[in-house]
Formats: sequence, C-alpha cells, structure tokens
Amino acid sequence: MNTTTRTVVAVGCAAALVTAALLGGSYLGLAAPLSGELYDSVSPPDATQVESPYGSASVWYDETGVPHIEAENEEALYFAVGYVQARDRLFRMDLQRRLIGGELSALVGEQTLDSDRFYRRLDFESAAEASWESVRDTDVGPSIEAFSAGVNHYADTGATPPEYALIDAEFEAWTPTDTLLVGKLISWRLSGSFADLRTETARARLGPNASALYPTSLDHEVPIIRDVDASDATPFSPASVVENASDPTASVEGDFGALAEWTDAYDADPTYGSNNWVVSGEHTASGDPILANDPHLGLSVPPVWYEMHLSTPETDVRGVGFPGIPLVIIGRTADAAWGVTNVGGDFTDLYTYDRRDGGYVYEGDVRAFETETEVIEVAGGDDVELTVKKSVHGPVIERGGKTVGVAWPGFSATNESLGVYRLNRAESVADVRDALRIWDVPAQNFVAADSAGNTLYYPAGRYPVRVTDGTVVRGDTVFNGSTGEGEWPGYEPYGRSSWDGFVPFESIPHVDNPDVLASANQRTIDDPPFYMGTPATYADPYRGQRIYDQLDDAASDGEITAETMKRLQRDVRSEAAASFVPYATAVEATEQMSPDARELAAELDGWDGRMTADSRAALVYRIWLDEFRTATFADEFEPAGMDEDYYPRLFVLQRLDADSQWYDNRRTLDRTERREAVAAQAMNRTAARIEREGWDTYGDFNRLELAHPFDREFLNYPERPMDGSRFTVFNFRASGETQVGSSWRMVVDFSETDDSVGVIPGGQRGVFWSDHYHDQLDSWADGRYKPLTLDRPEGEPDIVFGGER
Amino acid sequence: MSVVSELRRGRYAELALVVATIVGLAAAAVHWIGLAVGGALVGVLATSLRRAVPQGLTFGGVAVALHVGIVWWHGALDALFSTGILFALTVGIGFVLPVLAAVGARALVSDD
Repeated sequence: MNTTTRTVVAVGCAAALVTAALLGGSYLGLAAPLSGELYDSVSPPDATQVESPYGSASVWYDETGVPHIEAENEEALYFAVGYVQARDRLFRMDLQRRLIGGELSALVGEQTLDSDRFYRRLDFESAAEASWESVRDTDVGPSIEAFSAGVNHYADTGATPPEYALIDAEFEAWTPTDTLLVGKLISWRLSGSFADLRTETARARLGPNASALYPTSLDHEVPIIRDVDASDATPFSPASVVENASDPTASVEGDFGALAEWTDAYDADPTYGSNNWVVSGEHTASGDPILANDPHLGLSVPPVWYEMHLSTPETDVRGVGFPGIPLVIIGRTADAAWGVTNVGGDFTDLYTYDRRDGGYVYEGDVRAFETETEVIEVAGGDDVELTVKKSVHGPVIERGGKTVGVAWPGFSATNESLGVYRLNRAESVADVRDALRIWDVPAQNFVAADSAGNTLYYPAGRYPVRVTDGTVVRGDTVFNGSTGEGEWPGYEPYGRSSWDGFVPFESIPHVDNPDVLASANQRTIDDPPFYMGTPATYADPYRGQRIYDQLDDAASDGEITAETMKRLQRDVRSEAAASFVPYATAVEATEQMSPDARELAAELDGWDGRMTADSRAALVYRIWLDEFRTATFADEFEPAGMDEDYYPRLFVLQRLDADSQWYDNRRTLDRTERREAVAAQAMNRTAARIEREGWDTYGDFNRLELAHPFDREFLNYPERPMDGSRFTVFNFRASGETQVGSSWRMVVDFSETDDSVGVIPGGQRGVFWSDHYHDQLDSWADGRYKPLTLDRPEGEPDIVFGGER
Repeated sequence: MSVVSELRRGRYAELALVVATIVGLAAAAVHWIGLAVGGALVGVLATSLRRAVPQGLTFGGVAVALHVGIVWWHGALDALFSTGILFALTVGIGFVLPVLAAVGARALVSDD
C-alpha cells in the first residue's frame, strides 16, 4: 500500500476516534469496559478500612444487606451510618432532598420544573433551616453533623451509584439541613393537606346538598379509642386558649378549583394509611406484650425505608429509618418497641386575602407580602426565576385568581429528630412517653410496649387550636386571612413556635397500658374535646374494623403469639367488600343487569370477601366498586369540572339510602334511578371492561410493578400479581402509576424466644448490581419475614472505621 | 525501525504482544483512552496493515472478556445482561476503539 493511502487510513482512523470522543465522550465514560463509571459500583466493599475523625466503629452486613454497626461513641456511630447509607442509598437520598427543596431540575432537567416551583413556593428549605437551628445544640445535633460527614466521606471516596453515570451528574455535598429537609418531606406527605380547598370547591359547585357527602364525622363504631372513658387524657378546654368559647363555623365560600387542581398533584391520597396494634401480656401466650406495625407509603425503587442495627456502649436499637436521617424511626431496643400510623387529623389551614395594592389586608392595614426571588437551576437548560411570597400566616400560593396562605405546623422549627433520637434510647414505655412529650410534627398514632409488660397508645403531636376573634372554631374550612379568622396562637412559621395555645401534651386523648389497641388512621376518639379533623383526612373504618374484630377474637382465646400477629398482617379480607357486595347481588339489581353482568354477579355469591390474586370474585368486586362509585357521582361531579379526587369517602357512599338523590342519573330526565339501577349499570360496565382488558382473576389487575425513577427494565423490580387492596390489612393497591402498600412490616415480641420479625418490599441496597437490590421483594409479597433481633453476624466486619479525635 | 521489525517477527514477538496487551489493559482499566492505547500498541506490532484489524479486535475481545469476568466474579452477571443496550454499548466500545486505533497506528508506522 502506498504512502498516500496509508496517510488517508491513518487520518481517517484518527478522525473517527476524535469524533467518537467529542460526540460520545459521556457514553464512553459511562459504559467503556473496565473503566466505565456505570461499573464503579459493581463490587461490594471488602474489609475496608475507612478513616474517621470520630472514633472507631465496625459494620457487619448480614445476609439481607442490613448493616449492623457497633461504635465506641455516638459520633463514630453516626459517621458510620452516614457512610453506609451513602453506600447503599445515595441516589435516593439526593432525590428526596432535591424533591422537597425544589432542586430536582438541577439534576434531571426541565421535566421537574412544576414540582420544583411548587415546593419552592412552600419553602421547606427555610423550615428545615429553622429546625436545624433549633436542634443543633441539643443531644441530636452532633449526631446529625457526624452523619453528614459520613455521607460526604463516602461520596468523596466510594463508588458512585450508577444513576449519576447514567445522567452524567454529580452528587453535591450533604449538609445537616438536608437531613432536616428529608424529615420535612415525610412530615408534609403525612400531615400536609389541601383537602379544605377541595371541600370548599365541592360545596361551591354542587350546592348545599353536597354537605351530606362531606360529613364532619363518619358514622362508624371503631374509633381508635373505642371507649371514650378509656382515654387517660387530662381534661382540656380549648376555651382556655382564648377568652370565649362558643362554636360558630367561619367559612369562606368560593371556588378554589384551579388551585385544587394544581395542588392535587402534590397532595397525598387520603386512602394512604398504616396499621399498628399492641396487645398486652393479658392476652398473649407468653404473658409478655407484642407489638405490630406496618406503615403504608408509596412503594418505590429502592424502598422508602432502610433497615439498620445501631449500637454503642449505651444504646442498642434496630429498625427502619429514612435514608438521609441517621435514626431508627420505627423499631425496637432490647426492652422497648414502638410503631406509628398517621393520625390523619387536620393540620393544614388555608387563608384567603383581600388583595390591595399588590399586597393584602390584615388587621385593618394593607401589608406587603414578604417576597424572595428563587433561582431554579435546570440541567441542560436556562435557570428559571421564581418569586416566593409569604404572608403573616405562611407561604402563599396563587392560581385561578385565588391567593391562599398556607399554615402547617411543620413550617415552623420542629424537633422530631430529637424525639426520634430519644426513642432510639428508650428502655421502657416510660422512656417512650418522655420522648413523645416534645413530639410536634407529624402527629402520629404511637403504640409502644416494653419487656416489663407496659403498653401505650399516644397520638403525639402539636394540635392547633383555631381562633377567630377570640372564639375557638373548627379548622375544616378556608379562612378569611384578612379579617384574622382561624389564627393559630403560638405558631410561628419559619421560626420558633412557642406552641402555647396548642393542645397540651397531657390532654391529647391517649391510653396508658391498653390491653388491646389498634390504629388504622380512623378518627382518634368520639367527641374529642377539641377539633381534631374530619373524614377528609381520617380514613374509612374498614381496616380498623377488621383489625379490632380479629384482635378481639384472638384475645378471647388468650393465646396470642407473634405468629398470630403475622397472620393478621397477612389478612386479605375486605370489610368494604363485605359491605358493598350485597348491593351488587341484590335481586333488584341483578334483574336489571345484562346476561354477562348477571353471570359476574353470580360469582360474588358465597364469596368470602378475600382479595386474593387468584380470585375472580375479587376482580369482579373491585372493578364493580370502581364503576359503581363513578356511576353514582360522575353525572354530578363531571359537569362541575370535578374528578374523582373530589369524590366522597367510600363509607359515605356505603351509607347512602337506596333512594338517595345521588343515585339519580342527572342525564336521564324521565327517570329517577335508585341504588339498584346504578349497581346494575356498574356491573354491565364491569363485564365490558373485564372482557376488553382480558382479565381473568384479581391478580391480572392488581399487579406489583415497581419502577425506578428512570423506568428502565434493568433498574425496575420484577412484576407480579398481588393479593390485598386499599382496605385490607395486608395492604397493597395499584392504580394508574401509583403503587402503595405496606412499606415495612414488623412484629416485636417480648417473649423469651424473641420472635421479632420485619421485611421491606425490595432490598437494602439501591445499586442494581447488588444481590440485595430486591432480595426481600418476594418474601414481602408472600407475607414472609426475616428476624429482627439484636444479634449481629459473626466473623470479621465488612467495614472498619478507625481513627482518633 | 529494525527494533520494530524485531518485535514483529523476531524471537520476542509473542512476548511483545503480551506486554502490549497488558499495558493496554492497565490503561483501559483507568480510562477509556486506554482502549485506544492498547489498540495502537498491538496495531503497531502487526506484521501488515491488514493484520492490524484482527490484532485490534483481539485486544478488544480480551478487554471485554476481562470486564465480563470481573462482573461475573462479583456475582452481577445477570444484572449486566439485563442492561440490554448498555451492555451492547460496552461491547461495541470495547471492539471499535481498539480496532480504529490499531489500524490508524499501523498505518502511521512504516513497514519494515
């Protein structure tokens, strides 16, 4: 070959290489064999030695990837916690703090701009800063600082998770405020709610008859504290907060539809909930108490919870926490255990304003909004500016001509981190109770038990007392902020609240040493002495009913064991099904059905109400219930521009009389339909839908399809059919893109054999290369568990932190 | 150039190739440019321009095989194959870079 040809070849190859480097440089860096960033995280750590400025600690990973950490002092412990959380869940921690801080777009681009705008307007960042200022000088402060240092040490020296390689991004340093921010996210998800907007809008659009659809209380008989006299609360009169005490309901009427539509995307579905219960030694085979808890949250890849076992010479605690927070939030020590469900009370209030001169009227004067310009960075795009407004009540949101201020106790400095810190050191129910004294946000139904035989139910939290002109009022309306309606004495958004004027700790309805007590987000107690909430945020009674029925039965036998509790956690009978099926199978209904529909209704005869994947009756019921609800309400709600987010609670539908006006189809002017006609129509539609979708059994519809935020098959979890529904104790539901269910299942047993167990829906390690990416998923889906004792694995530790102060 | 000729055909030809491969793999473990470096080294050692192609492909094959072996060693082989297009990309890069570098380098260095 002559020189010219060779030169051409040489230049050609060089050009090809250079082009590849220029155009595909990031792909080369991502996926090249041997050096590709995607592969950094393939190898788990060997017996690594890690520098630490805090003292020595060792980590043993067990066969499901749970880190067992032993440290010589607290800071060494939390430094190690930071390191292992970063190793196992760094990307998820980053996403969480960015979500609530409104900084997702800086990482993933413009598709998250709407979300960032929403969260920036509510300014959780300032709330987190206020919380940090308030706890940094307490016992938990140094722990949070050491945790940050541990996270950053891993981020600087360890293998980057593959997600960063895939989007060509970097992890920015973690700060203590970030830990508090993650706490705000959880708190907001559990206790922030724009339900008042929806209720007000429904009333405005549907007229006064609609009030029957949104009662102030559901007429069932299973509040958490079933007997009013069982509460050990100190008497409390809200009037003591102010001078007068009558009970007019202030109400701003109005159509907040535009705002509600926007906030809906960020408002938790009120059917989310959790279960917990505690049984004293009175009824257990061992004579020692047993506690069970399964919180229900959105199911995600990786899971919401991260299990840890943490010990120092002074503490030994095991359970689950949220990556980004170094503490065990639900779990047990050697002698005490606790679990939580969401109180479901009303902790958010909204205020409209008389607008004037670009500001708002308040107490007779015109005030300017406090404004701040926020800059939202967008990966691969231009920065976006946003003006964040605040009023005297808190952050302000605007849409469709409405300006609304938002009050929520979590916008204030809160110290739940200190509360959890103390729970982690509890050795008795008395210790748990002490820890709960300072508990502010989010209010949670705590159940607790100890090895000495004590039990406890305490829905700890800060309950605001709403005051208008010196009179106590309910909180289930939108308030006129300009005239000072519905103020919260003792509340300081983005600052330190005194909480004077909130319900005193001792006056919160609670039970000391209950024998059997269960909570499933239903109302706390009948006729509380102060306004707690409404069915807009309290749950339907179906789970609560089932749990109490089963526990009462088991208690009367008196031989309850951990196995009894696991069986109850696996229970798939739906009390909702038991209540609604008669409507579908009533002769007056079936005689109006099509032949296909009648066949399906026949499937429901003799069905035991158990929502199992292999059940055809469960499928029929589930789809029929959907159609029944829509058929009842759509004809009134749809023309009013309200979707199913506005529909009343299922229990309300259940209790409507057969000749209720809501069953009448507005579109058929010549007829007045009754429940039977609607039930028949719903079954007709069910038959068509099942046929169209090709579903055979419930598991064809109720499928576990957990997707990683990037939604790639190799990152997603395996799919499978599932038992359970929204209303069964074994809780799982799939609807649209949401997958919700028991995000952790735990049973703590104080008998000698300590049959305590736990399981998460997925795996400990959020790196897809790992064996622990989803090794617990099948166990969880099948209702199986693994041990939750305070033993640690034998042998050499996997990571050793050494070093001196 | 006689040094080169020696290395291509002499007694130490095989050794030279092995050394070039090892150097190339070491470089590739650190940065993707190492794949080009390795390709260039084995390409220069090819006895003709045409032979540079299989020489480069072989080096690439060794790099990819080593990579897969390491992933297998850490028990993540299933995960590797499940990445689908990303694995294809890895394999593609592993072969294409060395071959381009091998041919280009060989074309620059004259025949002996």
